[in-house]
Amino acid sequence: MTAGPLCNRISRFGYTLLGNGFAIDARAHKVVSLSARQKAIRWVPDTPRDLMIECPARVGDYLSILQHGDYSFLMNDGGVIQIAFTYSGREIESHRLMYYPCPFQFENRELNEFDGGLYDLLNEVYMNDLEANMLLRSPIRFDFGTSATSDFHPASHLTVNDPSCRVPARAPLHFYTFMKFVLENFYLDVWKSSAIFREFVFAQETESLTTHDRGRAYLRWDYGAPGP
Amino acid sequence: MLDIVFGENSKTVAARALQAALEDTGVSGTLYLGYPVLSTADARVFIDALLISKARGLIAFDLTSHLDPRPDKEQLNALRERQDQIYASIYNKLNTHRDLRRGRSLAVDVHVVSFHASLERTIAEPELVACSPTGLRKVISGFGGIDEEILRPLNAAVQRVSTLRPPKKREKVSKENSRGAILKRIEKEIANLDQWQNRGAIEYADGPQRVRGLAGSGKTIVLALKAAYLHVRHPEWKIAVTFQSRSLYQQFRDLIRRFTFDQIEDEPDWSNLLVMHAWGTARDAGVYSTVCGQYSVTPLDWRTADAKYSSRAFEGVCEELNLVIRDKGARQVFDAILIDEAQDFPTSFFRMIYSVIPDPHRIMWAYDDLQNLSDYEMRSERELFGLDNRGQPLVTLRNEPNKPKEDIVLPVCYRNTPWTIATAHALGFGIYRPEGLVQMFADPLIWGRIGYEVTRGELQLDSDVVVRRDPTSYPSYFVELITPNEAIQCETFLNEARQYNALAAAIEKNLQEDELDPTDILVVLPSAYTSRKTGASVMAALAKKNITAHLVGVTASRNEIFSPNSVAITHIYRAKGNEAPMVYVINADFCHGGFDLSRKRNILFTAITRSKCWVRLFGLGDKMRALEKEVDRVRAENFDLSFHYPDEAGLKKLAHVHRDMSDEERQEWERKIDTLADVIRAVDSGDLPLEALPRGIRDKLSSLTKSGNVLRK
Repeated sequence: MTAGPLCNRISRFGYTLLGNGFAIDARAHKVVSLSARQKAIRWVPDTPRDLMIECPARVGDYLSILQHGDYSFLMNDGGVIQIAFTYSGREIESHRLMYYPCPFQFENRELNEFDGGLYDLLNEVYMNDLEANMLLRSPIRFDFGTSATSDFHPASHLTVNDPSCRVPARAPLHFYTFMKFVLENFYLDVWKSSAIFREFVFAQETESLTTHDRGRAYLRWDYGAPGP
Repeated sequence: MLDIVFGENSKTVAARALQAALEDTGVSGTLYLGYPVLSTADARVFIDALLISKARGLIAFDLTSHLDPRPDKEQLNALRERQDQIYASIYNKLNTHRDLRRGRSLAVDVHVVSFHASLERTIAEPELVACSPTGLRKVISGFGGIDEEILRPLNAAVQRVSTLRPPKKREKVSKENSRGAILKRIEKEIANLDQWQNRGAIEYADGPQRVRGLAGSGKTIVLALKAAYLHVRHPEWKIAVTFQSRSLYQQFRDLIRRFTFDQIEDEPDWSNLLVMHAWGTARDAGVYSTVCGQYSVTPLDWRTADAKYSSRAFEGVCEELNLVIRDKGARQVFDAILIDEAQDFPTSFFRMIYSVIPDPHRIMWAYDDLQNLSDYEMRSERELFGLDNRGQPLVTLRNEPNKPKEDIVLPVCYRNTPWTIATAHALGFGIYRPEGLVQMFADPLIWGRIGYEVTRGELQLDSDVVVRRDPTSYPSYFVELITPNEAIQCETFLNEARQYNALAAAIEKNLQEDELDPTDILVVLPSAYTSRKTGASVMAALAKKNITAHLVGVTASRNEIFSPNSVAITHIYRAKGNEAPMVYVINADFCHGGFDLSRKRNILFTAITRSKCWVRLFGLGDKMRALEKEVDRVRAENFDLSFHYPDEAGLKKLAHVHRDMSDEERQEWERKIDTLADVIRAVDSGDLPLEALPRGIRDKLSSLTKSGNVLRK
């Protein structure tokens, strides 16, 4: 799948999450031409802010993402999903796919009754007592890129908790592979929804593991795994 | 006639003497006392008084220079320097406005006159003019007037609004009569403050002052200008500007900064000019949390207050704090406070404020007349602030001649066309609803206050009456640029998909043919409960046309609701206080009937009145068709509202029948209705003989079905 059709699918997936009551918000996505061959898929509005955030991520980073609408989807529990791909021609040149769980557990009733948005609720109420309210949760990020590949820096890898953590992954992740991972592990009720599952289109991914990567514990999945 | 705007420092003897002397001359125009405040490269320049008169031009008055009855050379030199400074500051300010230049010169002469009661003779040297009250007539008779085409931009430049809200550039507008072109003309017109807003912004009562008007009459701008003006005159004062809607934070900051910069070419001192939310948190100061700090009280956060007081959360915390204040005594926290959206604040907040702003209690509040149709009982200042220990109101607002007004009304609604607002009222009250009225003001005189005039009948209980928009309540450019038919339109659809597709097609046309910008468009969803589902469908439909859209206020309500190149979609509660030239209300059928009808019709009223120019009501099925018929009827009556004003009993019945219901109450009624439906089905099919129903019930059912709605006239 090339950048244009994938971009439309990502947006549509977000609207499906939103329309079925699984998300608080979903952003439109757009294709940005970086060069004659390179195209990037980003959420709209395209802020000039750096995509990269510090890892370990701080509460302030999460709140900043909320405040600036820096996400593809915002799930009902405040979990943030960011989808960013760069294509070179028809091939994925790089990706940054992140699931950022909300560091607070809030009730949806509160969000409905509070006179403000989620950022306002968390910033003004939950941040007042971090000891009682804050949950220690790390963002989970799947990165892919071949320019910095080396031992202990696999082309495709999962980062959690610490920037030095790069668990090798079998291949660059397709959008639907990443969403399957997030939903199966963190939103099983959403994964089990037929309205959501219908949206999935699995595709073959080209392996990017090196011999060194195979010598370590790494993530693998079967192409086109069955649904719920 | 001389229109006088009493700014700060306008009560001085000199100011009063100038006012009297000018009135004696019979000159007409606008006299600003204690305004504006300008700057040169070296210093802030306070203009004691400024007259703009078509016949006599622009005259700045210096009232503060010390002058002996026969000034010596030294005094005259000092006076010349002061006048030069005044001249330079005004010239520099006006010279930045293209409309006020002719070639490389100013199109208007700037005259400076020092006015002093004790001067024995008039001084009229080149670039040095001074006189006493008796000499004023002769002095100003020598000044030429201002061309008509310069008068308006000159007023705008003095009032500063033209630089506060620069209109969108609208560079892509090329067709003469497109919607984009119409907006361009309207935005140019709206840059001037009218005389009411003028007065509200600059007029200073040195005590409590209320500014009120309909939504869209400019209250927020007036408050922001007033805050900036006071700050510039008293930079050492702690001035709080507060509100409940977080989205106002950035709006106030931007307005105040630009006005302050425009006047004195400097940033406001935000450590003294405190733009803050009413509540506040441990990290962001608010009014309530700041007062708590003064009394060494830990402020309660919303969550704790919500658990304790539920929907009265803020009211409850203010009441608690008032007990502490009563116990420990009043302490100064601010020198002045300006409160926007005063109708949303509980009385306990005003009582708290009164205690922490000492005499003369510089409390200025902006009150929205009829944000919605139910909250029309504006609390009096007596109710807000309470009584002293002699039983007298602590605050009484008076408007007396030749004194700054304490109760300012902004009567012109700039936001809505007269046809839109008349239709919104008609639908909101159910005036042309076949089943009868849904709600009505308890006090008939409110209609006059909100810009209606009586054309037939009497505005009193149990009387037939016809009202229409008073032509003085709206700016003339609506009539010149927009037609009633274009202003408001309805459309009914068979199903949701067709509605969303039609919406997307209409917005596509707005962007491609009508020369509108995505930020000119607002889609309003009446039901907050289903707003995410509906929002998703709208976004998906727009995405098929490559139109980007976003949901408003989901994360941070402080953010702008409009985003470049994206159409804003909002549910009704976030729409409040916002506006757009083109508004689409979809699923409007939600507001047609059923339970909570007052609330639903209020929602419709609020949704429609978000529109600055054009509004489109979309909806489904028979309910939308019925709403459409109500709108058609308004149009057929030429936007006159004709109805029978209920008597007291009728008003009470309306309030009861269409009242807001709790979820539990609604569910209980739904159960009863289901039971009734079962009974009717059984009688209809013969399962239950009609005679099995008690006679009393049979007779009542019969009379109800014969007479229709018992509340109809």
